[in-house]
Amino acid sequence: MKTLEPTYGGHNRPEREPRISNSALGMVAFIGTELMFFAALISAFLIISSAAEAWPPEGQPRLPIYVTALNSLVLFASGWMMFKAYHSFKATSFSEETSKLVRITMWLGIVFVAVQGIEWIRLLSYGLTMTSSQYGAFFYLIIGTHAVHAIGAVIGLRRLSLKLEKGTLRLETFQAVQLFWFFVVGVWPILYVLVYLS
Amino acid sequence: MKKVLGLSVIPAISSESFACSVCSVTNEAARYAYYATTALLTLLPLLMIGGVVYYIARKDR
Repeated sequence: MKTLEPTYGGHNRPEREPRISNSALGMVAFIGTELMFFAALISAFLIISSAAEAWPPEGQPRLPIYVTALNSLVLFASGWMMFKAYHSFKATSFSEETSKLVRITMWLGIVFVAVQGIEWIRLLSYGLTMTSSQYGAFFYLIIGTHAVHAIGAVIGLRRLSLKLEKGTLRLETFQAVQLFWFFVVGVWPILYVLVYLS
Repeated sequence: MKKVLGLSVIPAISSESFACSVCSVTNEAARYAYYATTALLTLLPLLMIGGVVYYIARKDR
C-alpha cells in the first residue's frame, strides 16, 4: 500500500493516498446518476416505440441521419483531443500544446452543439415539435437532454482552459472534466443508434 | 375460510399480469423491450458500483 510522508504537524501518522481523487470520484457518482437518467429515458422510448404501429409515425418528418452522423464524428474527434490533452497535461503540465488541445476540444464541442441547434430549427420548421407526436416528444427530450449535458461540458472545458492559462489547474480537476466529456461523447452513439436509426 | 381459499385461487387461474400500470404492452416486441429495459435498469447500477469497486481494488494491489 502506498503511503505519503507524514503531514500532520508533529505527529507521525501516515496518510493514505486516495486511489481515486475526490473530484474524480464525485464525478463518477454524478455520471452514475446521469446514466440511470438516460437509461430510464431509453427504457420509456423503447417500450413506446415498440408498441407503436409505425415508428417513425406516418406524416412526421424524418431525422437528419447523415448530417448527424458527420456531426458525431466531430464529437468523437473532440473526445480524442481531450484524451490527448490529458496526456499532454500529465507529461508537460502547463504547456502551450495542452492549452491548444483543450481549446480544440472545446471548439469541436461548440460545433457539435451548434450543428444540432441548426438541425433542430429545421426540424421545428418541418413540423416536428414536442407536441406533434410521441416521436417528436421523445426526440426533443432525449436529444435535448444530451445537448444540455454537452453545453454543460463545454462550459466546463472553458473553465478548464481559463485555469490552464492562469496556471492554477489541478490534475484532479482535469480528470473530473475529462470524465464528464467522455460521458457526453460515450453516451451519444447509443442515443444516435436508438433515436436516429430506429 | 371459504373466502380466503377462493381468493387464494385467483392468482393461479388469472393470466400473466405486468406491474407497470402505465406501460401499454400490446405486442411481442413491446413485451421484449419491457423485459430488456427492466433488466438494464436493474443491472446498470450494480455494474456501475461493481466497476468502481473493481477499479479501486485493482489500483490498490
